Amino acid sequence: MNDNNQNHEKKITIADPRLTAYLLNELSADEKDNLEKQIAENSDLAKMVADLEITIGAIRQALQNEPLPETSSNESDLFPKAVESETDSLPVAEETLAKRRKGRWRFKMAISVAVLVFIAVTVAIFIDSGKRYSIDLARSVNNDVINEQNNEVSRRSFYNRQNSIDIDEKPLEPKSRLEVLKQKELIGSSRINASPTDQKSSKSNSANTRSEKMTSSAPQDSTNAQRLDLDLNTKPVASPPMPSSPESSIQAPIGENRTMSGSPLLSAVEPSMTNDGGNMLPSVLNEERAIFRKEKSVRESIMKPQKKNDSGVTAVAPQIIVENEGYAKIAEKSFVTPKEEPFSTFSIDVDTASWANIRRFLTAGNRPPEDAVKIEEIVNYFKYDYKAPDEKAKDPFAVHTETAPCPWCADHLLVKIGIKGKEIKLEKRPPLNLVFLVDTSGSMYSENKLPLVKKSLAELTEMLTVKDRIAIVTYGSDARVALDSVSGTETAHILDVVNGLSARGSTAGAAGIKTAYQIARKQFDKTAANRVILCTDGDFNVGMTNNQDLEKMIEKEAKSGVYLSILGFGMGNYKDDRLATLSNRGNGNYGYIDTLDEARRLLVQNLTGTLITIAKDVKIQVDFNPNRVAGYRLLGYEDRHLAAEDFNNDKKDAGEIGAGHTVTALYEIVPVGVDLPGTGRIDQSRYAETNNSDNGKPDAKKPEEKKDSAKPNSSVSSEKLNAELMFVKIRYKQPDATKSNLMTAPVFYKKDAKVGMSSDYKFACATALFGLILRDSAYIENAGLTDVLKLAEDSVGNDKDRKEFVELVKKAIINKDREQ
Amino acid sequence: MTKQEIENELYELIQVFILRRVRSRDKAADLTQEAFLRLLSQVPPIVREKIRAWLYRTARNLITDSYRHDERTKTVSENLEYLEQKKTEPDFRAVLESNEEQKMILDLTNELDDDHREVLRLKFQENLSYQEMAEVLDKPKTTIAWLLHESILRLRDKVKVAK
Repeated sequence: MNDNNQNHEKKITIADPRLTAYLLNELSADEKDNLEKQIAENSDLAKMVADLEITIGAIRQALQNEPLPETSSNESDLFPKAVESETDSLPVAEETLAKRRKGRWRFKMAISVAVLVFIAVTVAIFIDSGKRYSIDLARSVNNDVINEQNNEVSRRSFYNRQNSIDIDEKPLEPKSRLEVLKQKELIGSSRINASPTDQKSSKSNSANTRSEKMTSSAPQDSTNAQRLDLDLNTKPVASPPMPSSPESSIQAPIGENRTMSGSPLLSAVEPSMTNDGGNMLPSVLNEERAIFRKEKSVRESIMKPQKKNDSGVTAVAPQIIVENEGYAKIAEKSFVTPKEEPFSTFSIDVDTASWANIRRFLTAGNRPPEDAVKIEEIVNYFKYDYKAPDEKAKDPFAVHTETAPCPWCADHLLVKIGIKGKEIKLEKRPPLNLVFLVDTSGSMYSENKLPLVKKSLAELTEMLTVKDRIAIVTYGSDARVALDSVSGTETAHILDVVNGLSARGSTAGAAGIKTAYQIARKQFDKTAANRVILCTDGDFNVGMTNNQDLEKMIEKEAKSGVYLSILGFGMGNYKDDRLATLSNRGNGNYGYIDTLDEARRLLVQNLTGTLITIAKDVKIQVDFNPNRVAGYRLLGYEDRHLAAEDFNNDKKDAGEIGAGHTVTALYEIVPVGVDLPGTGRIDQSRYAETNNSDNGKPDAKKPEEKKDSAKPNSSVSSEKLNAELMFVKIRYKQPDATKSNLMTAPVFYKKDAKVGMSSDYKFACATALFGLILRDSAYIENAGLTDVLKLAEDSVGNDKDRKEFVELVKKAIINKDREQ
Repeated sequence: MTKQEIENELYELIQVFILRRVRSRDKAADLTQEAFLRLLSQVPPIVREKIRAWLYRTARNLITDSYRHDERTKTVSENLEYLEQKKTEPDFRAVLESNEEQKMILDLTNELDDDHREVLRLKFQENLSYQEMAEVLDKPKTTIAWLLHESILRLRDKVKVAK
C-alpha cells in the first residue's frame, strides 16, 4: 500500500501544489518526509523545487518591497489627519467618529484610576451598547505593553513612507492610530496645560504625545531598546552624541568604552538619512548594541585583563571569542586502500583564508578552533619556488611532484604535487573591471573591518591604470552605488569616495550584490578580468532570504563571466564557511584580511594572481598503483573531494587558478608491506587471500587493464608501469572554454634512492604538519610542534611569510609549555 | 501573547493591508477602525487563533462595501497604475525599487485575476497561513494551495517570457 502510494507519487509534476506548500512549510510532517524522500531520489524534481524556491523568493521580495500608496497632495498624512479630524470640519461619517471619540475622552477623564478602568471595561461590555468604550479603555491600561508589542517591521516601512512625505513635521513615532488617540486622551486629562505654543492643534497634540511617552516610559520597565527609540525620535536626528541621560541604562555596565565607540558611530549617520530617521536610527542602535554586547562579552571572558591604559579601559581584547564565528565541520580523511578507491579526485583550492585566520588566533595566544584549520589553505598560503611554464607553453601551468619518506612517519611516503600557474607580468595584465561591494553595516564598524577595507581599497587604487575601471557599491541598511564605474586613473575621486565610507545599519547583502553585478555587467569587457569583490565580515541578515538564492545568483553571474572574490574582514561575526561557499560558486577566491600587510599581499603584490584567472575548473585525479601502494591519504582538501566520475565530467565545477599561483597537495602513502594505521588488529577476511597474494607478487596485468580504461597509456610497458607509484592527472579549462584539457604525470619512487628533500618540500611538510597538530589529527602520533619547527627552520630561507610562520610556531610551543 | 496584544500588533498590519487596496489614507484609517470596532462587538468574541483571519476577512469585506458605496474611489488596479507613476520619483529605496525584476513581478502580479493575485498578496505581504487564507477568502484550503501554486507558476512563466 505504502509502496503503491510512493510509486504513484513518483510521477509528481511541476503542477503539483504540494511543491509550493512544501516550500512554504505548509505540509504535514508525513507529507513533508515523503516529498523530501522523493526529492532526494529524483534530481529533476530537486531541480524543480530549487527553481520554484527561487521564484518564490523573488516574488516574496517583490511583494514585500511593494511601495505603499502615497497620499495625494490634498490628503494629509494618515496619522496627523487622524488627529486633526477631531477639530476640523469633517464629512458626516468622520464627524460621528469624532463625536464618539470625544465621548470616550470625557469618559476617561472621569475615571483616571487604572483599577476603575478595568471595572468600567467589564461594565461597558455588558451594559453599554457602544462597545467602543471598551476598546479604548482596555487599551489605555495596556498602553505600555502596546508600545513594546507593536510590529516593528510594518511600522517601519509604513513610517518611512510617511516621513518622506511630510518633511516639515518631525517624524512621528511608530504608534497605531488607536494608541495615538488614546495617548492624546490621556494627555488631555492630565497634561493639556503643558502643551507647547504651537497653533495647530494637531501638531501640539502630537508633540505632546511624544513628551508624554518619554516621561511615562522612563520609570516603567519597558526595554532599553524602546527607550532609546523614543529618545531619539524626539531629537533632531542628525545630532551626533547620544544623550547620556541616566535612563539609558545600557550605559551603566559598559562605561567609558561604550561612550567612546558610541559617538562616532552615531555621527556616522549621514544627515541625508534624517527623513528616514524613524527607520534608520533604531537599526543603527541595534548594531551598536550588538557591538557593545560583544565588547562586553569579550571583556567578561578575560579572566585577568592584560593591559590597562590610563583611563582604565581594557586595551584591545586579547581573547578571541569564537562562538559567533561559523566554521563548517571538517572530517579528517582516513587511509584508504587503492582497492577500495583506486582514484583520489579533488578540486584544487587556492584559498588562503584559513592561515590568515589561524594567525589571528595564534597571535592572540589562542589555539584556533579545529574546524578553522584547513590544511590545504595553510600549505597554499606560502610561496613555493616551483618553475612556471614557458610563456609559449600550451598548458597554463606546470606540474611538479616530489616524493620522500614522510617526516612524521618514516615508514610512510609523502608525495607532494605542486602546480605553478603561468606568470603574467603586471604590465601585460588584462584590464580590470572591478566592482567593490563593501559591507557598510554596523557590524563593520570595528577598526579591523571597514577602516581596514578603506585602507586596502586605497592601496589597490594606486595600482590601477587607465585601462581599468572601478566601481564601489555599499550595502548597509540599503544598497547604494557609492561610486559608479570610473577609470582607474581617477585616483583622487576614488579615494574621496573610499574615505567617505561609514558603517551603519543592518546588512542588506542581497540587494547590494545585485547592484554590483549590474554595474559589472554594464562595464563588461570580454578581454578584461570582470570581477565583483565583496568586502564583508559575512553578516548578511536582511534581504535575499537564504543562502541558496544567493548562491544560485552568484553561480549564474560567474557563468556569464563576472567572477566573485570575497575578502573577509574582522573578528567575531566571521562566517568562514559561508564566504568560502559563496566565492566558490562565483568562480572566485576568498581571502581573509586581518592586517594592512595582508591586504597588500592580496591586492597589491598578488594583484594578478588574485584577480586574473588563468585556468578554471581545475581537478586533480590520482591513480594509485596497488602493487606499490597499500594505502593513501590526502592531507586537507576535505571539502574539495570529488567523485571519481566527476573528473571527466566537464559540467562539474571545480577550483580556479590565478596567474602565478601555486597549488600544493600532499599525499601520505603507506607502501606495500607496511601495515595500514588502524587496521593492524583487524582479522583479515578468509576470502581476501587471493587478493593479498597480488600485493606480495606484483601482477602487471591488473593495473594495466585499469589504466587502459582510464588513460591512453597502454603502450607503456608493464615493467615500467609497475615502477610507478601513482599517476597524476589534471583537468582544466581555459578561462573562456567549456571543454577541458588533460595533463598527466607519472610519479616514480625508488625505495633506496638517497634523494634529499627540497626546501619547498620541507616547508610544505612543516605547514601541513602544523595544521595536522592544530586539528589534533589521529595520524601523527609521533610528531610534535618541535618537528614542525625543525622542518620550517631548515627551509625558511629569506621569505617574510615563512619567517612569520616560524615565529608563530615558536609562540605556539611557548603557549603549550605554559599550559602544561 | 494576550488577545489585546494580538489586536494591537494587527492594527497596523490591517491598516497597511487596507491602504494597499484603497487609495486614501483617511479611508484606510477609517476602515481599519471600523474593522476593529466590529471585532470587539462580536458576540461571542472571536477566539484568539481566529482573530487574524477574521480581521483580514472583515477588512476585505469593508473594502468591497466601500467601493460599492463610493463610486469615486478607484479600483485596485487603477490604484496600482497610480503607484507606477509614483514609483518613478526618487526615493531612498530607489536602488531596491529600480530592480527591474521586482518591478516586473509586481506588474505581472497585477495582471493576474483577483483570486490569484489575492492569494499571492495574502501569502507574501501578510504572511497568512493556508488555513488563514482559506478563512479570509472563504475557500477550501486545497483550493488555496492550488491557487497559490498556480499563481507562482504563472508568474514564473510570465517573468521568463518577459525576459
